[in-house]
Amino acid sequence: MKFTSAFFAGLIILLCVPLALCAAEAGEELVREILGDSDPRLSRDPAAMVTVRDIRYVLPESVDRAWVESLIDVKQGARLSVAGLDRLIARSRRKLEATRQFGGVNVYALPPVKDPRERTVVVEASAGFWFGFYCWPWDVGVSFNHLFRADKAVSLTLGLDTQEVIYYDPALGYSPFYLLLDLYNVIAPYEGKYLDDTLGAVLRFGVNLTENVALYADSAIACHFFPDSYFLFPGIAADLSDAEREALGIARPRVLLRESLGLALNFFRPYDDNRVGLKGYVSGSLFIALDDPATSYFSINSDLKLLFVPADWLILMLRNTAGVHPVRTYGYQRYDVGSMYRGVPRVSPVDVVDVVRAEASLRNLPPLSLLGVRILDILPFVFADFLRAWESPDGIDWADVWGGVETCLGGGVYLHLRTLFNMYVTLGASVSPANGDAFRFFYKFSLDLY
Amino acid sequence: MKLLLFVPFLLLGAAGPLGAEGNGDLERLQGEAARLEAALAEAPGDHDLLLAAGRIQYDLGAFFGASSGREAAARLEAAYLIDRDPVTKAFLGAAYAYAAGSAGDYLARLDLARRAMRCADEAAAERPDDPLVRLLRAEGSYFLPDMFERSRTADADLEYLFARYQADRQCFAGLFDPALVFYVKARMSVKERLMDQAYRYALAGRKIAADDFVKRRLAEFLKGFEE
Repeated sequence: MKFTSAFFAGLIILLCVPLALCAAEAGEELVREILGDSDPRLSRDPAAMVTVRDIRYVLPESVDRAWVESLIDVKQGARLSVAGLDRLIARSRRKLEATRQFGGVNVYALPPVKDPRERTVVVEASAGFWFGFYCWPWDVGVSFNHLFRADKAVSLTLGLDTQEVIYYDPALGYSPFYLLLDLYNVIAPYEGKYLDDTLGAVLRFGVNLTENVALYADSAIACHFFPDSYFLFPGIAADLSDAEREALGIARPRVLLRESLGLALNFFRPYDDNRVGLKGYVSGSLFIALDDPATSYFSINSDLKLLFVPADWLILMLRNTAGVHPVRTYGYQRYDVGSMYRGVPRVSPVDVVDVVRAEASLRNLPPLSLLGVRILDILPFVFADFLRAWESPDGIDWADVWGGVETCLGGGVYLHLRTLFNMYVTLGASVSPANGDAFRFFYKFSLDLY
Repeated sequence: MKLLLFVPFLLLGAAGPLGAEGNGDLERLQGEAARLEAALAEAPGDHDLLLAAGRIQYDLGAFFGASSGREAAARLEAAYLIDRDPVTKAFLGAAYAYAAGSAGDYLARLDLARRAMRCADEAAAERPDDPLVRLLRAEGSYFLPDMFERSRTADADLEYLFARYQADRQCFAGLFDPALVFYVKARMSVKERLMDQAYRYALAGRKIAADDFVKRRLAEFLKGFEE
């Protein structure tokens, strides 16, 4: 039997955790022994009722305090249980962290020094790095996260195949509503035959219903330029001749203008004490082809991800992604289902697609350290995709719809490089056993500068 | 607003003149440091003098923010070169850590932190059962930036000291006041924003403190919680 580093890491953790738990008692036992139970200020009865006497903010000068206040669920004068206050404090901290506007966030209650029935809550945030950078091999993006006193963001992507500007207002008028405006131009291969250029805009209006559930509506307009020109990159085009069009089987060129209206529900339940997480969305969209109403259609997508952490060193994920698409949907698809089924061959175009992904990843492997400083975390992962698709070519009755299962197996490694900047790299490869030539590599790279 | 001033002051490791008693300690330490410097001018190679001067400079920085830590490190480096003793090395580690926490320059901070961790870990490896070495490593961990993730090391050291004290209340006799362990734990708790825990450990420490200097440090620490 070969013992891997993961095996030893697991063994060490299994041995250390009980020791640490035992050791952690010594200090607490001493404190209890020295102080006794007489002092009511030291009581930690979770059911005890307390009043929030004051909330104090320690914020960078560049941050709008009213915006931060709008994100804090604890209200001055509120009367609630100690456990309830702890929950609100944890929720407020997560909401502040989720804005990604700060380098560090702390929300905590001070111990009740004078009156055990009162609490003072402190909200602390330190300024983060104002810019975010990201890149793909041929796209480079930069985002500025502190527009107008930190509560708005704008990002810009400049690349060979994607040019995009996104404006994001995470709390309209300090309300739960938010706004996103996305202007983009994307050039993408279509069925490996030619490139499709899509110019579009998305206006998203959303509301954060609860801490973990968001509801939003999209209105998008997209202009698809079919290959009357062969776009290599913007500004340079080469016309296709009639003979070339005929050889490629492409109809006479035209421009399609499409409007879509969509509604989506996102929800997220983070890891809790049971080490289970649930994340998902359901969305529906109505696409209207302004130039050809006959091709208007409705699509629906759903994504459900169940995460389970049975041990500190292992994460299991089961994910189901399903979508209903019309025949031959052209152009820019922003849904996960699109990117997932492209990983499996011979299924495009499709009407209905359902992908089940099972994934396991190891964590808490011994990190790579240099001169005593932790510089690289390594998380290997493996996955298996099982895809079922129902294809319905034009003119064929639903009774004749084809159904089949495709599989795709893969694995890779997730690297977190903790240098001066946080750098995240995903490298991997996948293979589809049913199709020997469908071996492919994938990669992802991103950078945090704060 | 007293507490809000107090929290960053604790995180910086600078105690500052909070009261007449604190000022008295500061002046006493400064006077002692001046006396040792004068003695060192006459005997620059004296190991004991160098060690004492380094420890005083470290206390001035760690408790009062009245020294950058580099003065302490310079004295302790010289002392360590004369006698490669693990306790001196542990003091040197703590001095480097304090200097790293107060250094403005990022690269200098990284370099000092690296030295601090190496000294503290090597000293603890040489003398794992020495309470002073373990206490100094925990103190040093407090000053190091969060990115080095030393809070677990400090917690392990402090729990080791608590377990020793629980088994034998005289185990630190002649080395340091046991309340100092509670004080370091309380400061670590503030760093992690566990305010209830910080308050309880500081109260417990104040209750058992015998040494006047430690008593005053704990009293000043607890003042921060009183509005």
